[in-house]
Parts: sequence; structure tokens; C-alpha cells
Amino acid sequence: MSESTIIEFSNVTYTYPDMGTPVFEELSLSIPEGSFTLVIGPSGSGKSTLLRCLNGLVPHFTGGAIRGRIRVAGRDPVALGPRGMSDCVGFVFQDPEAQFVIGEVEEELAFAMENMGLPEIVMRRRIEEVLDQLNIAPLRRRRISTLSGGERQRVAIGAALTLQPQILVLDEPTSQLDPQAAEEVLTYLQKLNQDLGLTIVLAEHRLERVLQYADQVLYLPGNGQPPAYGTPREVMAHAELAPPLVALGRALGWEPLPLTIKEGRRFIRGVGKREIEVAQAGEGSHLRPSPPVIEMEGVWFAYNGQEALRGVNLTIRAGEIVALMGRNGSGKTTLLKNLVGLLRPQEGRIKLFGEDIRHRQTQEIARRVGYVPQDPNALLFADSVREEVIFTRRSHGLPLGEPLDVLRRLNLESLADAYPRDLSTGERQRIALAAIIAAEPQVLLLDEPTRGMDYLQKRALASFLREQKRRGRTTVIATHDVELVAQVADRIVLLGDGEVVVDGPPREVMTDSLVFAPQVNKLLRDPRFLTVEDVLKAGIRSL
Amino acid sequence: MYHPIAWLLWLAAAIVPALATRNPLYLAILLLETAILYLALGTRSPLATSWGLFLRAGLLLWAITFVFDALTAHYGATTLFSLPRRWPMIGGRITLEAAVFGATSGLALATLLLVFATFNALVDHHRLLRLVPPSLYQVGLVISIAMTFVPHTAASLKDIREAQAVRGHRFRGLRDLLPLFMPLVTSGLERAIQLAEAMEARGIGRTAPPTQASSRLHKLALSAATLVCCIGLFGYSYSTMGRWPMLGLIASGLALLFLTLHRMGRGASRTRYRRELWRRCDTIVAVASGAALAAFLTLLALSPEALAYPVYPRVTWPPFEPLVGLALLPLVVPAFASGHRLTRNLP
Repeated sequence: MSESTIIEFSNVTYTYPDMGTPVFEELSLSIPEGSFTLVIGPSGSGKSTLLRCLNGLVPHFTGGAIRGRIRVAGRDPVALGPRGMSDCVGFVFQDPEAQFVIGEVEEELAFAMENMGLPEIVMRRRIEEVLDQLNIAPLRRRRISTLSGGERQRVAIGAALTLQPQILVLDEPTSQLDPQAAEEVLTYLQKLNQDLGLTIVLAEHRLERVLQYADQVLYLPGNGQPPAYGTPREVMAHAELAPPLVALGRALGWEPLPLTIKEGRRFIRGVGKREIEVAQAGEGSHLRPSPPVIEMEGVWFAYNGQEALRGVNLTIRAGEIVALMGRNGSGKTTLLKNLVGLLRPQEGRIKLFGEDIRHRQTQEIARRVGYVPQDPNALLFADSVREEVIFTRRSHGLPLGEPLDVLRRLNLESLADAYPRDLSTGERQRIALAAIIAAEPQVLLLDEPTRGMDYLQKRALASFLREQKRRGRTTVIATHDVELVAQVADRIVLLGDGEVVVDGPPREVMTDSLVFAPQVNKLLRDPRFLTVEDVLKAGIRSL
Repeated sequence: MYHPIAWLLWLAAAIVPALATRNPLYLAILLLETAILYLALGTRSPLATSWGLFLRAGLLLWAITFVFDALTAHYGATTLFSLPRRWPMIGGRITLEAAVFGATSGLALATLLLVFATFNALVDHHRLLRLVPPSLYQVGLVISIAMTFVPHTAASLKDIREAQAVRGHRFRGLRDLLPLFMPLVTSGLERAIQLAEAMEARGIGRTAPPTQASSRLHKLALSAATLVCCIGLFGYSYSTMGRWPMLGLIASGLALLFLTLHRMGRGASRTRYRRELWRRCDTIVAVASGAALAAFLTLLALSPEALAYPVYPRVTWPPFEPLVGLALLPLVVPAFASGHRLTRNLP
């Protein structure tokens, strides 16, 4: 092991129990000390498994067969297990909720040190330091349950740091956060990496968020193909998963490949102010406005006196794809739940297909309006994916039909007999979607559908939504995912503090926004271009 | 809020009169005091809503006790009316004495319940758990996890109900429970595993590498202690040997239990992080509660009849000893001890 290497895998093969094929085979890898390594790969390619090897959670919690040699900070995690590695590897999990033990910020921070048997004087000093490093001092006496997602993840990072580990491992720490909160967490990680020389290993799907912070990328393609490890530029030149900026750069042959908007703009600057000749895309296909499907008139809703919707007026027409955006807590989920009757407005009126739903039961509304909740786990209970589809049709009293037809529309037919709970988050999301569209609803309401999805799964979702539109069906998506919205939405409704702040077509809303502009638009600053396809379709081969 | 030790003292001081007297005047004072405490401090606490539930439960308990005693006792000099003799249980004279006895017993029970309710709404449970001695650390940890687990499970049940409702699921019979029950159980298990992983990753149990032999010894000792306790309890209830030997058996079982747990705890060189501060207002509450407790214990030892309120054979107006009333007064001190400095960082 060379002096600067802190993590070393030599010829590691790991197989989960009851699985025929190994997750990775003969994996060899060395990660230098003080680096910020981003682990990427399609879902199910073994990112989490790899991270869990670093502190011995694999194989200590999972079982299975492991071969080869792993050294982390000179120790053997396979022999020592997570307990023995706890003082040199800090671990932060995906779900900000499920990793807290005690419930109060300061005591959570002390928990690992107590386990270590550190004297109280040391604990006090380190807690003060960590509180300052992550800027969570004002939260010290709060209950975890009262914190926002971003604050929770910062506390989780703090709790991992109090033992002063050499390595911090994070498994999709921002997947449940809104863009602002994610940015906040990532900025602190970068600071820890640069100021303290802490080695960081982080897995993430949303590359457009994190690529700029990493100095090394590990790409796990899955399906038995060999992984790639190197600088972001080297790896991204070939990786199948690419954020829009990289995809555009590759399509237009930009060298060196841009990874940040700043780098990308260098290629644009060469063009100067020259007009880009583009055939105007056929916009405004709705010459005749279709009939309204959803009408909300002055809808107010409050949870125990806390106002979540404040006089929302909104009309959505048949065949529209509407994106509902806004920070966490702005009322997106509340609005969707009001539409299916899970919550009832305290004031105002909601009409579906021209009919007031005040006296309609949820089960009745759900025949025509499909709602896919944020957490697919709340939905799935059957032994196979096929049975989930059958259950919905039976509950609605519909003829059972052929469940495979529904699954085929989402490219899930290969999973028809799988046990839903065994699948990855992204796959569970799509199965939950399949279970809802099994009733063939006219309107589809999706709450954060892209959580845990990789680029390929997202592309599949986008094409499914376009297909829905072609059938004249209506979709409302509550999401933080700017790139998905840029690809599919006809309209963006931006909520702020329970009110509709902006309502308009993506090209208008996204172009002059700091937060909601997709990468391609940030790069070109031209309302005509939101996605890579927009640029390529316009016939631009070089700029 | 006050230090949990101060609250525990208050609880002890308030339980004793609630258990020792049936005199409605004293009980009414105590009830009034718990209500003042709750109104002064409790409405800000996260468990405030539970107080109302306890209040309703207390009323129900009172009503049941009252009706039951009044209809079934049949003793006493003042007959109100008679029910036909052939009615089982309730047939016979219904007396004023029995009704009063039922009403005061019910009041005592309801008061006890509300004392607990007030303690429950006002004390910080997490801070209370920090008082668990290191040797019982694991027990404390389990309770603390359970306390976060329960609200989480309730929230996830709500999510699941909603999710199945939008799939058109209606609850008609037991079979329809499956779609609600299965996700709840699997989510709960998944969460438990995740929590276990998080705890391991943060080094739980790291400093206690128990040797095989000693851990076997501990298990053996724990089983023996539990067995001795059970035999003692059983004997206490059913044996004719007299109570004292059995009480001795229970005590020795408990002693063995604590000794073993203490030894097990000593093996782990875990440390505690305590930020608990003892403030002047805590002293005030503790001193006041201690004084009340001492007064009642002295009273019980010297003249227990001062607290008694005999209704049989003929009911009389309950006596009122000013000294007893005075001893009850310190229990309301927590409502005023702190001034305005109690505000915790609530969201």
C-alpha cells in the first residue's frame, strides 16, 4: 500500500446470500488520502454495497461471501466489523430519519463518543467544534424531529465526525433533499474536505449536483463490466450516465470535456454574440384549449392551524403535463392530496372533470385520478409485482385483464415475478407507478417520482409521461428535479409558502431563474434551449 | 423545564396523598393543583394533548367506580332506594354511604391518574432517561428507541392507509387488513435494521468485549434472579407460609438482578455526556416537594387517622385539618418557581 492510499481493494469479489452472480468481481481499487471521491453507476450496480464494505456493514450485516483483501486506513473492515471501524470511518445514510438513536441534536453528537468511552471534557470540546464546523450550533437543543431535511443531514454528518474519522462515507445523502438543502450539505462536505483534509466517499445519482465538488470519480457500470476510476474528466468521457452538460459536450465534441457551467461557457464564448440559426420548434400545439380537468378555486388548507395552502387557484386542462415546484414545505404534497380527497380543503372548491369532489370518497375519486405517493414503500405489500397490479384492479372492481400490459408500458415486464421489497428505490418507484396506472386513471398525480432513479430510469419515465400525453391524459408532477421538468413539462406552477407564485411555460419560468434553470439553459442562457435534445434537434453541430 | 430529579421528587410527593386519602376535600385541592400546573406549564410541551386524554380517562374511571360501588356495596345506614332482591349483585338496598364511598374512591383513582398525567406532560422524557444508571444503560436505550419508534409507526400507518385508499382499497373485513399490515411490518423491520446499522456504525457496544465465560455467567445469574423473583411473587400470593419469607425471597432476587446488571455495566467503559444543569428554580421545586413528602410521611406515621375519611356506618361531612391542607400547598410551587425563563427552544 503506497503512502497516500487510504482505501485499497485488491481482487475483491462479493456475492449477496441467495444470489447467483456477484455484485462485483475481482474489484481492485485504491483511493488516495484526502480525495473527494464520487461513486456513480446505474441503480443496482453495487454503489451502496461498495460503500458498506468500507466500514464492514457488508458482510457483517448482510452475510454473503466475500473474497479478496480490503484495507481501510490500514485496517481490515471485514475482520473488525462496523464497530471496530467506527472511529476511522464515519457513515451517513440515505434516509435522514432512520439513523438517529436518541432524538436530541447534542446527545446524538455525543452518542458515538460515549460508546468509545471518551472522557466528558473531550466530548464537550469536540461537540462545540463540530457544531461550529457544520454551522448547527443554533440547533443544539432541538429535537431531530423538528429539523428540516438539510439540517438533519448536517447533524448526521456531525454525529459521524465527532470521533474524528479519517474517512467520511455518505450513501446518497442528498437524495431526499430539495436542491437548496442539497447544495447546503454538499458545500459543507467540500469545506470539510478542503479544510481538514478529510477523505470523502459519496454515492449519488444526480450528477449535475455533485460532479463539480468531486476530484475523483468511481464509475460502476454494473452487469459485470469493469469499473473505471479516475478524475471526473477521464471517467465522464466514457460513462454511460452523464449529466446534461457532459452529454452536450460529448455530442458536440468539446475538448477538454466541461464539468461545470463555468468551463462550458468557454466554448460558448467563442461564438460571441453570433445568432444561432435555429428553426423555431413547433411550439404552442394547443391551438384549441382542451377542456379543464382540474379546477381549484380559492383553496385553503391548514394542518392544525398551520397554513399549507393559501387561496390556490389553478386550472389544469386535459393532456397537460404540469410540474409543481417549490422548496420543501411549500405545499406541493398538500395540494396533490387535496386533489384526491385524502385531505379536504377548509375553504374553496375543487372540481374534477367539472364536478365538485366535496362529497366524493377518495376511493371513488381514485378511479379517475391516480396518485402515486412519495414513499413507494407505503404501497407495496404483495409477493410479486404482478400481484400488486392485480390488487389495484380488483380493489377498483375492474376486470383483471393482463397485468403484463401495464408492466410493459413501464419496461417492468422482466420484474413481474420479483418481490417488490427486494428491488432498488428507483425500481420500487416505478412499480408503485405501475400499481396506480393499473386502474387506467385519466389524471396522474406524481409526488417526487424520480427519487433514487438513475438517468436511464428517468429517461424511461419521461418517455412514459409523453406517451400518456399522447393518449390525452393529464399529469401533475410535484418534483425538485429540474432536468425532468425541462424534458417533459408543458407548464410550471411554482408554489411558495402555499401560494402560487409563478404559473407559466417552462421556457419562461426556467430561463430567468437562479434555482430552477436546467444545466443546458444555464449554459446557453437562451429560452429556446432547456435540454440537450433541444440543442441537437435545432441542428447545431458545433457552436 | 425543571430538572427531572426535581420532577421525580414532585411526583413522589404528589402520589403519597393521592394514595393515602379518600377525603374529597384534600383530593380536590390536589386535583386543582395539578390543573394549575398543567395550565401554567404544560400547554407548551409536546405531550400537552395527552393531558386531555388522561382527563377524559379519569372521568370515565371515576364514573365506573362510582356506579359500581354505589350499586354493589349495600352497606350503610342511609337507604336511598331498594332494588328487587332477586337481581344478582345489584339487588338490595342502595345506600348513600355506598354512593359516597364510590364517589370518593373514584376521585382518588382519578386524582392519581391526573398526577401521573401532569408529570407525563411536564417532564422531558429524554432527560428522564438520562438518569438511568449506567448499569441499566441498555434498558434505557431500548426505551428511548421505542419512544421514537412509536410516533414513527403511527405516521407510517397513516401513509399506508392513504396509499391503499388511492388504490381503491376499502376496509370490509379482516382479510382487508393485509394491505395495511404488511407494509407496516416490513417498513418497521427495515427501519429497525437501518437503525441497527447506524448504531453499529457509530460504535455501539464497542468498549464491552465480554469474554464468553463471564457473559454466560451473567446470563445464568439473570435467569436465576428472575426465577427467584417469580417464586417469591407466587409464594406471596398463594403460599400459607406467611408473607415475610416470601418478601425476603423477592428482595434477594431483586438484589441479585441489580448486582448482575451492575457488573455487566461495569464491563463497558462507556462514558456519559451530561449537560444537565441544576438551577435555582430546581432547588425551589425540590425543596418544596421534599417538604410536602416529609410532611405526609410524618403524618402517616404519627396519626394516619388525620387523612382517613370513614363513611360507614353513617356518612358525615368530610373533616378538614388545616395542617393537611398546608402540607398540600407546596405541590403547586412548580407553577410559579421559574418565572419566564422556562422557554425551551421549541420550533
